[in-house]
Amino acid sequence: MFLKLMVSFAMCYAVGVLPTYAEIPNHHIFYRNDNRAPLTSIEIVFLGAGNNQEPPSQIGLARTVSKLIWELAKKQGHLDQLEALGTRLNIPTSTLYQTISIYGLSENCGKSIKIVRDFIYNLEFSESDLQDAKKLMATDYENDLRKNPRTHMRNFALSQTTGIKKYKSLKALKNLSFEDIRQYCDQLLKTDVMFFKVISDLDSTEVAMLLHPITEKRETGGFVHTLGSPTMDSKIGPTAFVSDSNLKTVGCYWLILCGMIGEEDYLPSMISRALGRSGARGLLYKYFREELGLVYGTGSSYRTEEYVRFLEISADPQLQNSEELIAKMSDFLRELPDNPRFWEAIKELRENRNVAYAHVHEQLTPQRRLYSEVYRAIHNPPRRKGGYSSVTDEEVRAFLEKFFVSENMVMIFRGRKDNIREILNTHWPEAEVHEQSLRSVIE
Amino acid sequence: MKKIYAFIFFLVCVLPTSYCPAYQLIGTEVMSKELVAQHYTINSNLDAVIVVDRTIPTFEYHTYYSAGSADEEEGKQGRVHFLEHLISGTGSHEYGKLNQIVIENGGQKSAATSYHVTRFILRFPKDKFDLAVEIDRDRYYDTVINEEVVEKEKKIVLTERSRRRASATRGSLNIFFGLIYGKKNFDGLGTEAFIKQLDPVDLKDYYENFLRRQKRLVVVIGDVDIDHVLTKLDDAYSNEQISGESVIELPDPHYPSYEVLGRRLKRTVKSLSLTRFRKGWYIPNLGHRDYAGLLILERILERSSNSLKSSMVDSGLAKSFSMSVNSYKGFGLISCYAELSHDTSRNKLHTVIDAELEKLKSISEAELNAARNQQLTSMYSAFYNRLSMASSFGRAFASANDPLLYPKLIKDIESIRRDDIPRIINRYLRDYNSITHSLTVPEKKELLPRILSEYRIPVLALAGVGFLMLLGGFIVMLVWGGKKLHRKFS
Repeated sequence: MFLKLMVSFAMCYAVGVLPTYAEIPNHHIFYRNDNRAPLTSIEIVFLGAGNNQEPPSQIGLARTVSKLIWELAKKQGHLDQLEALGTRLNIPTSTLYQTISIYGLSENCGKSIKIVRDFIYNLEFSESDLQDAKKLMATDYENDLRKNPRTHMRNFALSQTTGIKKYKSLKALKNLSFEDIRQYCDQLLKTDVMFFKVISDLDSTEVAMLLHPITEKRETGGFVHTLGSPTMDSKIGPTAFVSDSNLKTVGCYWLILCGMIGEEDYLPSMISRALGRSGARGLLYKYFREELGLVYGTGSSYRTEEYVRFLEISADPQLQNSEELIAKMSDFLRELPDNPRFWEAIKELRENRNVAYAHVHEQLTPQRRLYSEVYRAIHNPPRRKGGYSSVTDEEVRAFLEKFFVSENMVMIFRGRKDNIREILNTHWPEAEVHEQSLRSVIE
Repeated sequence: MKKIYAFIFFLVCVLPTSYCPAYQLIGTEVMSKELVAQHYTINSNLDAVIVVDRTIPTFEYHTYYSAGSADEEEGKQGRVHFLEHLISGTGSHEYGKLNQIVIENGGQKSAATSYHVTRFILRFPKDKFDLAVEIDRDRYYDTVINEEVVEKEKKIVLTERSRRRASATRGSLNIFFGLIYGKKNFDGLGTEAFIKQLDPVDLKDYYENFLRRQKRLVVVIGDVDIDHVLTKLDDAYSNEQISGESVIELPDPHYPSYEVLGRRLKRTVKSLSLTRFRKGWYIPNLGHRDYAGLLILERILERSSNSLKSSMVDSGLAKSFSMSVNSYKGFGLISCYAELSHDTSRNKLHTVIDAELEKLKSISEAELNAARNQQLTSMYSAFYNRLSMASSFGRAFASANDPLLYPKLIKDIESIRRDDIPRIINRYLRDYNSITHSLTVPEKKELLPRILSEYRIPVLALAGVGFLMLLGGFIVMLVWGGKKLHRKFS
C-alpha cells in the first residue's frame, strides 16, 4: 500500500496534478429504495478508470474499452441472455469513472448480476475484436457529431481555450493498440475503489446479497482515483468558434468559465437559476423572448466538463435577428452587475422559498438524490448553512466581476460564417475568431 | 309539533347529503405496489385521472385537449399550435404576467401540440394545487386573444418554425404523415404566410368554437389528496359554460388515407447528408389486444442481435435504424425509420425486412418471453417519470377515449402467446398494408452514360454515320496512296 501511494504521488508529480483520495470505501453500496415500479438499477462504478486518466495520445481509450466490452457481450451471447431477462446493459464512460450498469425487472436481477460477473471476470478478446470495435467507434463518432453538434463544438472550444482534452479524436482512436487496451482492462478490473449505485424496490439486505458475487475474491491494485485539477489559463477570451451552416436559425452559445469542479456550487448555480434554467423561465426568457421576441428558446445551464465549471447561455435567433440578438445578449451579459432586474431575481431566489424550491424539488427523486450523494462523496464540495438565503449580494457581485467579463468568455456560433464574422467585427472587435468545419472537431 | 320535528329532521339529515358532486369514478387500475390510477368524469366534456405519488412533494397538473394539428383543415394548419402558445404563455393575464405568477409560486409550465392532442403542463409544490386549478380554469374561460399578444407571438412562432425546418428528420416525418392524413403541406406549425396573416378575431373564433369544444382530460400525478383534487375540479368545472354559436366540427375522420397503401414514394431535395427511409404499417388502435402483440414484435425487431435492426446496422446497410409503435385517432402505426447513404438500394432494405418478418413467424417461446420482459421493463420505467406517465394517459385518452388503456396494456402484454406473432405478421405487416417514403437527393448520372441511355437511337445513327465516313475516308486514302505508288514505280 505504501509503495502504491509513493508511486501514485510520483506519477501525479510528473503530470502536475495532486491526488485527492475519495472517501468512498471499496465495495460501498449507495442505495435508494423506490417502490413505484418493480425494477432494479445497479451501477458498478470503477472509480479512477474514467477518461481523465488517458494521456493525450490515447484520447478515447476508456470509451473504446466500453465499446469493446459491449460488443463482446453481444458477440458472446451475454447480451441476449440479459435481454431475455428484460435487463438492459449499459457501459457509459465519464471523466472520473467507468461504469457497467444493468437495469431491469427486479425478479430477474440476481440472474443478471451473475451473467455480468461471469462475463467481465473472463473478458477475452482478440486483435480483430478490437479492430471491429474501433471501426464501430469511428462510425459512432461521426453519428454523434451529426446528431449532437452542439456538445462536440462545446468540447472543442473548451479544449482549445482551457486545455481540457477533446472527447473524441479519430487520429488517436486509430493509433490505440491492442496492448493499450489490454493494460487498461487489467487495471479496470483491479480498480482500487469499486462501488455500487443501486435503486430498487428490493430492500437493502436483498441487494447486498445480490452484489456479493461481484465483490467476492476481487483483486485490487489497478486504477487509483485522482481528481486532476491543473491550473487554468486565466486569459482565455474573448474567443469565438464559428462553424458554417446554411440554416435559417443561428445557434448561439456563450460559455462563461467559473472555476474548478469541487468548488462551492451555490454562486454559479444561483446565478444560472436567476437567468433561467430549462423549464424555469428566468430573466433570459422574459427579456429575449417575451419582451424582444428575438428567440424561441433561450436558457442558462450550469455545467462541468472534465475539471472545468462554466455557465452556458444559449439562444436560437432567426438569421435576420441574429445581429440584434448577439449584440444585445453580449451587452446583457457584460452589464449584468448593473442590471437591477438581475438583482431582483437574486433577491427573490434568496427570500422567496417557493422560487428556490421550484428548482430544488427536481433533486428529490431517489434517482437524483443518489446522484447527488455520489457526487458529494467524490468531490466533497463545500456546503453552506442556509443555502441560497445565505448568499450575499457582495458575493454575487464579486463573482460577476471576476467571471462575467469579456476576457473570460468563449462563444460558439453555428450559422452563416460571413454573417457571424461581420457581426463579431462590429460588436466584438476584440474577439479572436476561429472558423472550423464541424468535421475537424473530431479529427 | 311532530310534523315540525320531522321537517327539521328531514332538513338536517337529507339536505346536507342532497349535495351531489358531479364527478364520478369510472375506473381504477393498480399500476404497481405504490401507484394506483383512478379515472373520473368531472362533466360531460372533462375527465380526470389521478395518481397519488408521494416520492416528491410536488405534483404534475396536465390538461389534454383531444385535438391537435392533424385535426386541422388542409391549408389552415397552425392555428391549434398558435393557440397553444397563447393559452400557455398568456392565459387570462397581461403578457408575461402568468410566467411571473408560476415562478413566484415555485412552479414550472410548458405546452406542446401533437397530431391529435394539445397539452398544457403545470408543475407545482404540493401546497399549490388550488393555484394550478385556478390557472387552468382562467385559461379555459378567459384566455386573452388580442392584437398585441397575437403580433408578439407571431415573431416567436416564426422563430420556432425556422428552427424546426432545419431538421431533415422532421421534414421527412411531415411528408410521411402528410401522406397518411392526405394533406399536401403537412406542418403542425403552419406555413410562414399563414402564420403571418393570423388575426385575433379568427383565432378567438377558432378557440371558442373548435378547441374549447373538444373533450379534455386533466391528469394529476403527485403528492395530492384525492378528495381535495376532486372538490376543486368539481368547483371549477361542474357547471362548465361554453359560449359561442357557430360550432366548428372536427373534420371527418378521413384518416388514415388508404390511397397511399402499398405505395413506395420518394421525394428529392438538393442538400441532404443522408437518405431518410420510413415505412409504416397500419395497425389497430390502443385497446385492441393485437396492439400489445405489436409492441412485443417491435421489441424483437429492434433487439441488439439477430434482429431486423442488427441486419440493417451491423451489415452497414443503414447508418441508424429504429422502430416504433404508436396510437393515433382511430388507427395505429408500426413503423421503421432508417438513415442511409444515398447510394444504398431501398429494394435491398425491403428484401431484408421481408426476410426478417418471415423468420419471426417461427419465433421461440424464449424469444417471446425475452421481448415481453423488455417491453415490461420499458413500461414500468415510465412510472418513475411523472411527465411521461401523464403523457401516456393523455395520448390514450385522445386516441382511444380511455386513459386507463395505458396501464391496462401491461395485462395485454402478459397475455400474448407465441402463435399470436405469426398471425399478427400475416395480418398487418404486409406490403399492401404499408406506406413507404424516402427523402433523398436527386440521382446523379455520368454525362456520357446518361446521353447514351436517353438518346440511344440518334447516338447510334450518328456513330454509324461517323464510322462509315471514317471507313470511306480510309478507302479513299488507300486508293489515292496506291495510285501514287503505282505512278512512282511505273
